[in-house]
Amino acid sequence: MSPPNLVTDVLHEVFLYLRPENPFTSQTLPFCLLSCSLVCRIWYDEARPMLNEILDFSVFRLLFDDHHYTTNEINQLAVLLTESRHNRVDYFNMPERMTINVNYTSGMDDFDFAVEGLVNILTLQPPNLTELLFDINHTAYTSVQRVHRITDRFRRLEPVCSTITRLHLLGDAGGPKHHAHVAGLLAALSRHLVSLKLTRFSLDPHTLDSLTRCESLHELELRYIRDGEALHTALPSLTELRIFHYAYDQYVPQDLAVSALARSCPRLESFTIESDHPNLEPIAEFKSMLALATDCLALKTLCLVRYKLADDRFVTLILLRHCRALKRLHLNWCPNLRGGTAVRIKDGAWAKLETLSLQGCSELALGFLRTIVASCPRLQELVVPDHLANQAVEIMTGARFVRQGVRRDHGWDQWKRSERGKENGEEERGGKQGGREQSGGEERGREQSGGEERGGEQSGGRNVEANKGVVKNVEVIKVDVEGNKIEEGNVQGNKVEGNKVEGRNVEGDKVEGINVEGSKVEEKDVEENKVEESKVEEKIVEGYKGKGNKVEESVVPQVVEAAKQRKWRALLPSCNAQRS
Amino acid sequence: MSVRKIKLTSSEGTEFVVDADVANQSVIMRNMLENCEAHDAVIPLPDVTTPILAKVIEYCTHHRTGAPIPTDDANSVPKKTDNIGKWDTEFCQMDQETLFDLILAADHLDIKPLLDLACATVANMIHNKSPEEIRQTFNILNDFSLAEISKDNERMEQK
Repeated sequence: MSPPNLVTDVLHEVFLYLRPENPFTSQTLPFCLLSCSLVCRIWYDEARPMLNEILDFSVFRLLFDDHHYTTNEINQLAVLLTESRHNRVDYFNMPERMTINVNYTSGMDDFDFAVEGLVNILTLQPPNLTELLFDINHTAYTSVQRVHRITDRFRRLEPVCSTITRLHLLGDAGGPKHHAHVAGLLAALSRHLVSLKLTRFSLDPHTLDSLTRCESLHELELRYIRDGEALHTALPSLTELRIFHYAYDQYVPQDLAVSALARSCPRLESFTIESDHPNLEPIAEFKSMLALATDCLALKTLCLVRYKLADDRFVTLILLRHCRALKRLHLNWCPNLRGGTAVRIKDGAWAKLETLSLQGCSELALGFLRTIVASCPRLQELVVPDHLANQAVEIMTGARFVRQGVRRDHGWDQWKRSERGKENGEEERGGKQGGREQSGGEERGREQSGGEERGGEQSGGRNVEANKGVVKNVEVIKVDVEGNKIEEGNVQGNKVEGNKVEGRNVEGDKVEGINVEGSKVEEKDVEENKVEESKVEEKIVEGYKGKGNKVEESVVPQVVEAAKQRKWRALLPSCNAQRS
Repeated sequence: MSVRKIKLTSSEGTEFVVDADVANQSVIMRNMLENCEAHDAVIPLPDVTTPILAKVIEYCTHHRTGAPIPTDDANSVPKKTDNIGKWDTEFCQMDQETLFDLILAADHLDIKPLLDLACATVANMIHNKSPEEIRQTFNILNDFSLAEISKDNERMEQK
């Protein structure tokens, strides 16, 4: 309790004296105000609003991230976190990542004190602190020695070894001969490690050995590593790997590595190869990529940047024939990709594809765009190479895509599918729109604006009502579940009565992204409706633009059934507001 | 015309007589005096005790010839705690309770320079201290332990 005459007005006045200079920069943490907020509850009530105004709390979330902290500051922060934990103030829950940069201080004595501060923080075990980032991008002898001392200290910390699940090493710590200590830390963390990122690091034998032990690893990101020839020896034990990312500026063949992934990582979901330079040879050849595509059946994301091998044959024989689960495909700056008439998308190839990027593919044929928009029923986002930007307009808008922006210097022209048809014709909006306009995909409508048919978060604040006029033009079918009205519908034979299936994302019912409007019944996980996913793909509601495609009768009534079931009704208030 | 004399009475009834220019440093009193036609005036101050009133008068007497401090917007300009003069520093040598009472009095009487001085003095007592050290300085009990502060948790999650 505070002395009775230190009333809040007085406290407020006093705290104003403790505020750092305006304008506030992150160089000066308001340690005094932070301390005050932890003294007692009255002081907290007075100081916290002031802190909220001036402080970007990411300084707690990403500890020691943006500038060099002095030894004193490190220890002050440790004290603050200790108090926060004791007093159950939320600063303690904020840290997620701690950056360790050994160039904090000048003298070695000070350095030890700084390390103790770091150790104190780690020992507190902030519940969300799971990542360590070591900035070891220097070669000075003292720095290298410091890295040794820190890693040796950390690897003996039991709390560290069980709570740190993400490790990022940025730099080479003076070269492979100094890696034994870092490799030791990696080994100590190996059991629980989920994510490992190495940037400009040399894959020495010690590190490779430790990497082999990281059997729980889900994510491996390697950027500009050196001595990577033996990478494939470590991969077979990483059977839980989900994400593999390899960026390079020097050619080192990695066919063995890719083959190892194909053989050993059945759960791989994301695979990225990024060449830094158009003249670099591809690190994985046709054969190993084919193995990857054939064996990694869970692959959802594939990114190949400046990949010379991505030509029509590659696309046809590997990407179209396999990669059935693919949702996101980036073939950026692939100079040999033409997409000629021989490349046909059929037999359900790319049926789940939602995002396709062809940024910078300067040889791409216009016809390929036509093929894509016609054959990829779930496509929501397409990045067109900028040399086709003008010609693409007709194709894209005809398929109900809306342009997001064009950057010719970056080689891209971005389009997103609109579920309501055209808004105001196509506009060239600068930059990317934040609005979520599409159904399905990974963007779930989270907006709940009680009963209104409006996505609260949409930039552009799209109002369904306002779209009615536009809707007519493209014969979009709008149905209102609650009122059981069919507006502007053209739903003969569909029995889609009383269904509000517009841009619907009824997650609770596992009927995701039904888009009857316009309409392709997309991506339904309709176990309850007992409709096989394959049946509803590429079905188009009868009457839409006279194309004459029909929804299978078996599908729609079951959709209706689901709507009539109590379960769906219970979701209606949120249904009305949700836009997927 | 002779100098206006003002009689100030504390909560206990003690009377202090001061010149007008001393009293005028309080905006409250200045406004009262402008509206008062009598040459000499009596202002009762039932909220201020004798010892505090004495201190206030001591301050205002010393600063009677000082130029008026330009009014800043209190919230926009950060305040400095390192430009306190020697006399002011010695003036502030008093026990904490008196200091806090002085802040309240300066606030009520609207004597900004005195308020600033007293607040700066308290701020200096807080500066560079850990929460525990602050508690010890002011003899404050840590009463966090029973309650969880969840409002801000929510707010932070939204950020």
